[in-house]
Amino acid sequence: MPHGPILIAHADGGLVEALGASLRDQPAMPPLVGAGDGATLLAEYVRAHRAGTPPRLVIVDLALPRLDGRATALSLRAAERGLASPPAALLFYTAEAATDDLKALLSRCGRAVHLQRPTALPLAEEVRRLAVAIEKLLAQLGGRA
Amino acid sequence: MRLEGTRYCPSCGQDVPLDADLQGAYLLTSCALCGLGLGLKVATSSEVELASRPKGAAVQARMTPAGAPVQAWVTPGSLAPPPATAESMLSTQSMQAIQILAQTTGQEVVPAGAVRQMRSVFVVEDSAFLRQVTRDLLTSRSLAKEVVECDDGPAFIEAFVRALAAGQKPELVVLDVRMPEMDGRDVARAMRAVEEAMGVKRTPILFFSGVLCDEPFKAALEALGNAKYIRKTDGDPSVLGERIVAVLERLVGVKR
Repeated sequence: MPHGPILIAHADGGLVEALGASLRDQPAMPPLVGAGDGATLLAEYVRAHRAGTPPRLVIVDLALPRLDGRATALSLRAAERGLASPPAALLFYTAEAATDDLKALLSRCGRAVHLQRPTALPLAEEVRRLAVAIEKLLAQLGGRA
Repeated sequence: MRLEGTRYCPSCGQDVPLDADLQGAYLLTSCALCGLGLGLKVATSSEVELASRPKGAAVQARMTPAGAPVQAWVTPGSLAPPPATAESMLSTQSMQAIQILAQTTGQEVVPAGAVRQMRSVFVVEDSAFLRQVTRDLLTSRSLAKEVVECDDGPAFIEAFVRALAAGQKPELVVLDVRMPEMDGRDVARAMRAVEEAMGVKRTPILFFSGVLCDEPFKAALEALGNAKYIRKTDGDPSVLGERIVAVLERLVGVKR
C-alpha cells in the first residue's frame, strides 16, 4: 500500500507553512498536509486511509481548537483500530515539557514520541531541526515514501 | 391545536398549557412550552369523525362539527399514560378506530405514537449501571433493535468507524458527557469529523448527561448539528422515559 502524506495539526500556522515548504524541497518526502484543528486532522486521516494512502506520520500539538491534541491522538488511534489500519507514528511537537500526563498519553497511544518545541530559536532554524527529526523518524519507519 | 386547561410538565416544573395533535386514531398531547409529550389517548368514533374533517378546518377542544354538539373529548385529567409498546397500543378499540378512519379517508392510517424501531443505537456511557438503564429503556419500549454499548469515547469511535466502514451506520448515538478518557463533546466532534471524511450524513446524537446545558453547551450542540440534550437528573424517573421518547421523536422520529 503506498504511503500517504505527513499530517500535522499545530496551533502555529506559520510553522506549518514553513515546514511544508522545507519538506517540499527534499526528494521522495511525502507531502505535508496541515490541519488547523484536531477534528480536521482526524478527517484528513480517514480521507487518506480511504484513498488507499494511510499516513505513516502524524504530528500534533497539544493546544488545538475544537479537538485538543490529547483527544485527537486518542481518536486517531481509535479510528485506526476501526479501519484495521496499522498505527501511524505520532509526534507530539509541543511547547510543553514532558509532564507525567503527557508520558501517560504517549504510553496509551503507543508508537508515539514527544519533541519539545525550542524557545527563542529563529523559525528557519527550528524548521530545519524539525525536518531533520521527521527525516530520522521516517527512516526508522522504513524508507521515506 | 391548543387545549383548554393546564397540566403539570415535569420538564418545565410548572402547570403549562397543552398542545395536542390529532394524529390517526390518537390524540397526542404535549407541553406548549417545551414540547414534552404528556399523554396519549385512543380516539372514540366521534373523535374519529373530528379527525376526518376537511384539511385546514379549525380544530378546537370544544366545538360543534356538522351541527352536532361534541363535548371536548380530552381533558388533562383524562389522559391515559402511553402504552409501552406499539403492539400493546393496538387494542381492539383503536383498531376499530383506525379501520373507520381508513375507510373514511381512503388512506393508510398509522396511529400516532406508534413506535418506529431503530435498527441500531450506540450508547456511550462509562457507568455500567446507566448503560444498562439506557439499554433497558430503548429495548423495553421497542425503540431499538440492537443496542451497542461502549464504556468510553475511544471504544465508541473505534466501533463507530468500523460500523460506517461496513455500511452499518447507527440511527442514534446516546452520549454521556463526563467520561474518563474523552469528554463526550470531544467524542461527538471526532464523530462528526469521521462522518464528514466518510461522506455520510450526521447521525443524530442524544446527550444524556448530568452536566448542566449552559450557553457554551448549547453552542456546542448547535455546532455539532442534529444533536439534542437531556439532563439525567431532570424530572421524575418515571417520566424520564417519556421525556426521552419525546426528544427522540424530534431527533429521529421514533414516533410516526
